[in-house]
Amino acid sequence: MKKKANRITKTVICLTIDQEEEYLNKMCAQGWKPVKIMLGLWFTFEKCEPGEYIVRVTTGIDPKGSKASRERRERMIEFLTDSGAEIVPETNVDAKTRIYAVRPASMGDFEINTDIDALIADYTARRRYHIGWSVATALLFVVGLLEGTWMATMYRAPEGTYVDLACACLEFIAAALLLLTFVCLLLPIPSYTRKIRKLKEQRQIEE
Amino acid sequence: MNESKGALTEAVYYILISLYTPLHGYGVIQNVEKLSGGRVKLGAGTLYGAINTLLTRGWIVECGESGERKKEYIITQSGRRAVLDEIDRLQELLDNGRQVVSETTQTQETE
Repeated sequence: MKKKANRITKTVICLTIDQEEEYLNKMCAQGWKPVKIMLGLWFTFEKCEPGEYIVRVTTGIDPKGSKASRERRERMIEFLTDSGAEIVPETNVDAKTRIYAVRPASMGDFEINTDIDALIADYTARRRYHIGWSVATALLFVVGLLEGTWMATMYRAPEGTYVDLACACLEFIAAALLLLTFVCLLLPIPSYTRKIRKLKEQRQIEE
Repeated sequence: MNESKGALTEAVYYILISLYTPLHGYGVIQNVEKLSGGRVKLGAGTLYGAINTLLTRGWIVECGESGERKKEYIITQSGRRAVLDEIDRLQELLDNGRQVVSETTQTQETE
């Protein structure tokens, strides 16, 4: 944890947006407002009054593609900032798929999705994000494993060197990390599926 | 949101009646809150989803941009028809509900 005057930077791994939102609100309750987020791992906070702010996190993804996602992001940010929220600057590997909004608690309740349809759309986008990235990491894992095996074969060959062995080890380490990421991405999918099913059931009797 | 002859959600109904005059997104949020006496507070995600669906269905259209490049929307003829259908449906619900409740109450009182 880095500390600079009234700022701190923490490294946190959250598997889902829900966990991220819960963590950020816990920090706000303790008097730390998020001001910058890097790669979804490094969170910079600034001192504030305990419970002064509420944080909401949502997806900027639209299932219709990247143009629709850009439009969704722009409009959502417009609606949120007009409603008195600040958007936390974020840099991410996946082209800004999340929107972090912070609003003073004194302005009252703060929710991004206030009807069942919007909640279903949000959870569906989150599930799609997890499925997409888990497929990508699974493919990269297979590639890493094959390359590592090939490097190990090269080392065992008569002309093999320690460089081949080092490369094989690196490939296996990378493959192991990818496998871990794959599992982490895969884990929340059933819970999103359950939430979507429950919301659809709820929609049958109420809005 | 259901099919055109079905029930509208509360959010969609309030958004449609707000757009009888052109408004941008936040204007809609404010107007819905005012119309419902502060009961219905539209979130950004709900508003975005509803506006997209209504645009696709042709019930509202973009009618220009206000300051700071904010898109404004207005209800169309088919949107107005959907509102009238919804008012008829709500009236029917009220009439039927009131009739059944008053008949039952009268029967119980005479017993």
